[in-house]
Amino acid sequence: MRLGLSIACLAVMAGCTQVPVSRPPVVDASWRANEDDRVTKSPRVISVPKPDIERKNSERNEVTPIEPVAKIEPIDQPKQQNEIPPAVLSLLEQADELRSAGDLAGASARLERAQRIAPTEPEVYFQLSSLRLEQGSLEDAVSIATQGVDLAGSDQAMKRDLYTVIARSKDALGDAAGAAEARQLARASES
Amino acid sequence: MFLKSCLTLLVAVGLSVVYLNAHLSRQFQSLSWAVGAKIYARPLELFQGAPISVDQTRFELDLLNYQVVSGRPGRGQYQLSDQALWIGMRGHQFPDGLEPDRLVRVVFQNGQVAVLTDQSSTPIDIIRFEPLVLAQLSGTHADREIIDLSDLPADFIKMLIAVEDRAFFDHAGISITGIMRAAMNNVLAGRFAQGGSTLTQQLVKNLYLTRERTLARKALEAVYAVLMDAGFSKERILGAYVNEVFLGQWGNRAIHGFGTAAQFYFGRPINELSVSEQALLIGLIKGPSALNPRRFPARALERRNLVLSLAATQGVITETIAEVAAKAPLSVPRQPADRIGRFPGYVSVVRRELTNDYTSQQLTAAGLKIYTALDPQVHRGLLEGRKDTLRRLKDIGMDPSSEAQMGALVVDIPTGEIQAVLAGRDDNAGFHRVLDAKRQIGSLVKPFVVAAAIERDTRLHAGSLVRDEVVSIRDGQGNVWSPKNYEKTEQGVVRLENIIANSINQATVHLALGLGLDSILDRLIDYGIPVGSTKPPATILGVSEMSPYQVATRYQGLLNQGYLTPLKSVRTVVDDSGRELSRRYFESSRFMMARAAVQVDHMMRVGAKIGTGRAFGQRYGQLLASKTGTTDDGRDAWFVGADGRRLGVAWVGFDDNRKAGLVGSVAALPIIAGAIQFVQRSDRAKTLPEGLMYGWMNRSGQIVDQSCDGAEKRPLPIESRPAQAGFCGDGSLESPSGSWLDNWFGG
Repeated sequence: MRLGLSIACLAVMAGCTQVPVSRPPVVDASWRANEDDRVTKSPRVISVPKPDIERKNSERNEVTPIEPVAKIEPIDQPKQQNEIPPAVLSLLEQADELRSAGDLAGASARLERAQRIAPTEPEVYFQLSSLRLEQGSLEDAVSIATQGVDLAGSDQAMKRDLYTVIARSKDALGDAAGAAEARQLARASES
Repeated sequence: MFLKSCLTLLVAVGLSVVYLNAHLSRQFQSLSWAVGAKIYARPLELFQGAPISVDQTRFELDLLNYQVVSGRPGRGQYQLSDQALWIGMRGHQFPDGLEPDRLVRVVFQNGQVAVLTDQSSTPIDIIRFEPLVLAQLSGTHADREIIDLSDLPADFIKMLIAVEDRAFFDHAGISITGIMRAAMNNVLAGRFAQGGSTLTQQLVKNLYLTRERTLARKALEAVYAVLMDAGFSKERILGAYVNEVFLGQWGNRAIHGFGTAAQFYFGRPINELSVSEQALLIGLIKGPSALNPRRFPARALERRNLVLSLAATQGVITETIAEVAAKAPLSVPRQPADRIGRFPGYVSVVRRELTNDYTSQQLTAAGLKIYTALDPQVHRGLLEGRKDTLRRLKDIGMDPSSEAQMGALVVDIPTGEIQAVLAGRDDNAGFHRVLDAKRQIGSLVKPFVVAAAIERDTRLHAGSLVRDEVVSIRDGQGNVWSPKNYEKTEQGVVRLENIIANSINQATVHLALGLGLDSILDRLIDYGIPVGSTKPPATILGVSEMSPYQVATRYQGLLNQGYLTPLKSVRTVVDDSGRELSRRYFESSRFMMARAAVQVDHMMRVGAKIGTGRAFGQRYGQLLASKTGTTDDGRDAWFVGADGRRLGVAWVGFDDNRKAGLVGSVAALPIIAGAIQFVQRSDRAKTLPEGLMYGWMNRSGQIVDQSCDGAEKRPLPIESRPAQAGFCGDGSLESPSGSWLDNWFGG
């Protein structure tokens, strides 16, 4: 189960049991959907849930908070597929905050730290590529997003978002044909 | 007349004093310790699930000179209980934020961090320890750990003053009683033997004057001391003194100041030292060479205990504390307790990178902090691997004095970060073999030839059959080139993967010829393999010359699913105000089709399991990848080995390129096998990129049913026709997948 969807699920339903979180979803304002980008009509939810000690259920009544201790699972318990380690979630979240505050270099440092911990996690490559797009490093954005596609496996929603980054980067590069192709692939991933 | 002379003299003296005063003020005012650039290793990061054992963590803590304690650990200490550690972390100001001093609890399980909490059992997402200092570069006072008076332990100053200059806060820069006593002793001794210097005088002497012991210098020292005392506060003078005092020598490295000395002798910050350790440092002022605790431990101990008893007599510490402290052992390790200067090969790589990426103006700024990716665990492994190789060279009868050389590096595949470097067979390597030794790469080129072939014809896969027969090529100059297999035997036909796993020369040539030698060579150029302008055919068997560093850049891309990321040792550089200088972001570019890269990767796994690199794979019993390389007459022995995260490249040979009879799997393999012994190794990834799927093949390379005896799982192009249920091959080498060969060779 993919992270963004989990959060979306949380946002919609009370008591979604798949991810033990008490944190409200955070909408990333830096992800601005293009008008013609059907796939990004609904703002992308990128921030990452984690048990937050400061925020108790008084803030989000609809989600039952989990005791922080519940975060610690025995290592030998099989990991949920695509489960992102709390350390990586925490770094992604920090990156998100810095990026919203305009500190793109700081955001990049956090994401690269996250990448060192979880180098096969497509979410990290999605975040890195969209940051590079924002920084104007368009070729890097394309390449890192493409790498993310290779890592995404069967995660169609992730692929769609990565192809969308590629499409927007190619637009900015003036490569209309490349952008159209990427959009096509994004749409194909949606179905 | 006499009066006139006297007046002249008085004016002259007065003018000199005015001049001296101005000179001194100017110099002392501007006295700042232009600290040289500090180079740091990567910080150890712990988080739930971090792949590290309790022993590996303790190794890192020991490197940082954390002390083991049985009670509650303070800063720079840890307590061990079975599979858990309580650690009093030292904080560090990282470029991207402060890591505070704090007490943490870490529980380990199955070679991983299972639980990470603070002292109130609240889970912590991630912590970073302060990074190890690898080196300090340039700067007028390159090697100093500058401290403020407030960094010193509470009783340290009192003890210092009690021993060195009891009247420091009362005298005017010089102590008349001290001078009288010294003068008396000098008269009695018949020569100038004793100083009787105040701290101020000692400082003046260190800062401005020569070391000769003459009366004139002594007089000048006194004048300076009085002027300094008149012009500056006692605190200011003391603050300069504690950073300037000379406390030891190690080779050409001079140890100045208590901050530096604490690191040099004990490997810990001054504020973590015990009373006995503080007393040792104070005792050293009298004679850093004669009292050197590494060379003359008995003398140093005696002096330390004298300092303790003087301090007790004057009431600075209690008698009980002094007695306990006097019983403590010296506990000074034989080598400097800091690790400065121990990573010369890596630091050279850092220097080279800095020169390329930063302006000289940026680099000469004071107090730069250079954060690198050096992994001390991998470095330790490389050193062990080097020892192992030197031992083996001796075993195979190579004269140990023959000075066979080597170079090796280890790279984190996904990020391109360089984790450790060996520049030569010892640490005093003037010539950096990783960066500068360009040598024939031999069979290391084969994975690139096979990748180029797969890119040319995407139907190819591990089981595709390739001729392995005598082959002759006439090159552009009319020379006939007829390469032999290393084993001097031909098998007629081999599977494509055996070209890599068993390093088969003639089949490599047949493969390239079949697809078009020119197009393969062009692709090698794209991959960044140097190909001469005449495009010699022998390039496909590795006559190109590359440094181990260059080899690592290409293999990083190959083993990273075809994504090339520039290698780097430096993560970031900040100036002394914490401002980040320009930094290299993570970048990647595709240089090889993922399906080609991943298939070749799998062939290298067969090499590490049962092929030329089997000693590598078998040592760990894990899913690793490898390629060996050996050039004519064993002049060069190469080995490339990788686990799920790291890639190691090692070269062994002679600097003068003489015949050496070396073999990659014997001489170079142990270096890389050693390099990964202290880290948690992971298997090579099993996920496949688009365009590939797993299937099964038999010994003849035929795609067969999963249930067949001896069926081997391999990535195959999705276009491959799956085997019919129950099909186990017909024993023929003319398999469906191999039949396309006939088109090239006319059957």
